[in-house]
Amino acid sequence: MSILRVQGVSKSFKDFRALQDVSFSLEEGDNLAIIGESGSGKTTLAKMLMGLIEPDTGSIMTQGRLQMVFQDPYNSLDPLWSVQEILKEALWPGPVDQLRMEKILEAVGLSPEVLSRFPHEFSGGERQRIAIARSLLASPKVLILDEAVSALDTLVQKQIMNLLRKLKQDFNLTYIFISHNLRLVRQFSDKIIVIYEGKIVEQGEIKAVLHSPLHPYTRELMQAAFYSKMGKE
Amino acid sequence: MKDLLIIDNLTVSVGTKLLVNRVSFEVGQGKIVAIAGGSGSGKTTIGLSILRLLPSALSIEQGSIIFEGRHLLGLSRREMQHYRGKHIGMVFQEPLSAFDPLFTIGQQMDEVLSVHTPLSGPQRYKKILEVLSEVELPDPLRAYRSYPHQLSGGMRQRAMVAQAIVAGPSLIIADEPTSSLDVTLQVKIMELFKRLRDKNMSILLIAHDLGMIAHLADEVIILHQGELVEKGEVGKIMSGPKHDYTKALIEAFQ
Amino acid sequence: MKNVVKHQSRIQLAFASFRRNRVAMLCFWALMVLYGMAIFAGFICPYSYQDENRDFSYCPPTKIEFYDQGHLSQPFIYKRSLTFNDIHRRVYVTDHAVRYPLRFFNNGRLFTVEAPGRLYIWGADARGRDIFSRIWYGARISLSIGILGVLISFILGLLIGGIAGYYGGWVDSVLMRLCEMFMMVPGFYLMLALRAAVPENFNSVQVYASVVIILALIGWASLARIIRGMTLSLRERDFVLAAKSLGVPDIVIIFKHILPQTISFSMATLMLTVSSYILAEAGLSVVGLGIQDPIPSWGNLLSDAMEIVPVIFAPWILLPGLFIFIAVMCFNVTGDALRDAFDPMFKE
Repeated sequence: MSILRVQGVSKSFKDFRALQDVSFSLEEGDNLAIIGESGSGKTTLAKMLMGLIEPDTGSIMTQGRLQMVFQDPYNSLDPLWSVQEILKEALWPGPVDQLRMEKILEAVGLSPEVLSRFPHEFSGGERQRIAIARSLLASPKVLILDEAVSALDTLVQKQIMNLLRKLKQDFNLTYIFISHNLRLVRQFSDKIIVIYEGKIVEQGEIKAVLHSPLHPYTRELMQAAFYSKMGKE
Repeated sequence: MKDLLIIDNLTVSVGTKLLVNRVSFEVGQGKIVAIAGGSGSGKTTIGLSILRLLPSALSIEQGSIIFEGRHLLGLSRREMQHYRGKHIGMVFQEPLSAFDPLFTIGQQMDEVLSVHTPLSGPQRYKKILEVLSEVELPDPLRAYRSYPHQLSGGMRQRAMVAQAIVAGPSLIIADEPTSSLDVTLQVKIMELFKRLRDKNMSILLIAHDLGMIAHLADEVIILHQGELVEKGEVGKIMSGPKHDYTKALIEAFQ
Repeated sequence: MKNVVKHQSRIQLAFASFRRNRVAMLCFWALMVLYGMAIFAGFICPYSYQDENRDFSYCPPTKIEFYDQGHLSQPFIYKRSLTFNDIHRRVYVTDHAVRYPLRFFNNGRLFTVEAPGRLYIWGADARGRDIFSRIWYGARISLSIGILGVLISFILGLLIGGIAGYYGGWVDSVLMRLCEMFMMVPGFYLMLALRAAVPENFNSVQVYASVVIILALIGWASLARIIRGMTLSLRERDFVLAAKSLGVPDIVIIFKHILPQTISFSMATLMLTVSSYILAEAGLSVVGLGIQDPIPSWGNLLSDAMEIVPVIFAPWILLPGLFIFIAVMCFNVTGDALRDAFDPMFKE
């Protein structure tokens, strides 16, 4: 039984067609990458999966909760709230479980003493850890990572990607990893969907898709990824 | 061949904190030299120091910056203005802040040319369109007539490169020029920089993406928290890094 | 030994930055002094605001003597009496034979003199009322009206601006057209029009309340627009989306995420609005439409100063104007400093 099923979803804004007839499904435990340029519609898709936007046509069926980690670490935490209050919001409207908050902080590599501090005291990587902790506290089945490491330095990117791998196992998560960076995706995900101009142009197991790409855009992406790999191809 | 740009013992501080600590390196003519480092490494500060565009809270404590034989730090503000645009062009990280939203791209580039070159109106127009197509903008005429907000992020970035090179500077300082671009566009901009380098323009590339640096730069300087950690030819450093930080950076790419 | 660092929220950091601004702190304390004097007017002032004595009409300020024939003594004043000189102009003659010592803590007042002596620290008005006393009793009206008016404007502005900005669509359009209707009419004329609607037989308390409401009504619209603008940009921010995706309802998001951000910025605008309300009240009262005599407000005190003859011969009746100036200046400086202190918060 799929944990997520998207069928025939389309969305337009004024006269701009953001998404056209998008269909795919997600099984529990998957690590799906959605690759596309900015403007390709992938963020619109993410917001629709989260229920923040309604599709014009088509349906989205989910089993279990979805949570999202956003791209900009400087924007995703309320600057006037302490970390304690930010994390408490994830438990809303339920009771405040201090023990659970501390355990999750530990799981993302932060000490409980960050609870009394404020977002502006942390680096980009640390803020993303806080954002990840917030998502985990809501006990999601699926975690959407919308360019979650794109705004970070390469060293920090690696740390966070490693953390995400570990969390997937520890918390039995299913990932949707949205990115425009094929290099990151290749090391991280098993399945891939390539979106180009609002349509899905590739879909399947990563190794298979990258071995024989169908669409010229996918080939372009691969070239760019090879470029980044130290020119050793 | 004499070095185009020499940075010697540059030290920049804000209050009591040192952002750049006695950094020295050279940029030869027709070379792409990259400054690599994470956030807080001081690499952007170095770029801004060369053109004296530092915010007032920062001060250059010591060191010298020598460009084409002249000591830039000793120049007055008016003399520095002569260098900006004509001899040294700068490509910033955020395209929105580089352009005045009230004027079209063409108008702004025209202003640069009329200040720095003796070209006539029609000559400037021709040159601008040439440069706009050189940066691989699909419709140079449309770009010329557009306002900054009418262009997509990728087009704005390319237009910014165009504005930096239109007056024919011998050195370009590019601070994370592709960070807000998708990978496919990154490739195009990298190709463009290579073409400029082949035309004997020097590029000081400030970046944290070692992959792009490996593919684009001739020499690289590794900065960590304001200090120069390692420098040398790209190939040598990538295959045999000496410092732990360099090793960590390279490993992040595997 | 571990260094215990107190973690400050952005708001605390902003206030710390404000406190470092010496000029602003000076103005802030000046305002505290003004408000303190207004609150304790009953104790500080030698006379009540109604206490008149026509024998001392336009009496110049009384000099307090500290030396008695070369020796330091208890402060006192000489008797003064009114005569007219050869061209029928008022002259006050000092009689050195009669003295009235200052009495302290007498009758619940800090300092007074025994009748029939009159102590006019800053001079007297046409009816012989003490300007000093009337200024501080008047401060109560002038300084409080601004604050109360702003409070109401603020609440209105927050609610309407917040709702319009957050929900957008037709709600936003309707509310903004309403704002624009209020903003269309020039403030002073709107104020006069609203004042004309107030019944004739209102007593002074009711008139006071009416003026407060009128002020609130002319000022809320621009505040609402500012807050609406801020809300529009704030609602797109990721931490708002994160709250939505956690299932937090809209009302809670507006009150706990969006409005707190607008409040810190609004504080600066509020201070500036208070100063404009002080001026507005003064404007109303000077033309006789605000607080009525005998209750003093700085505005109606100034209406006594609208003729050139008294001004030339009794310039002390202009003093209320100085205090209006000081209050407005201090509010403006503090408001600007607050805006500067909170500015970095919004430059993320």
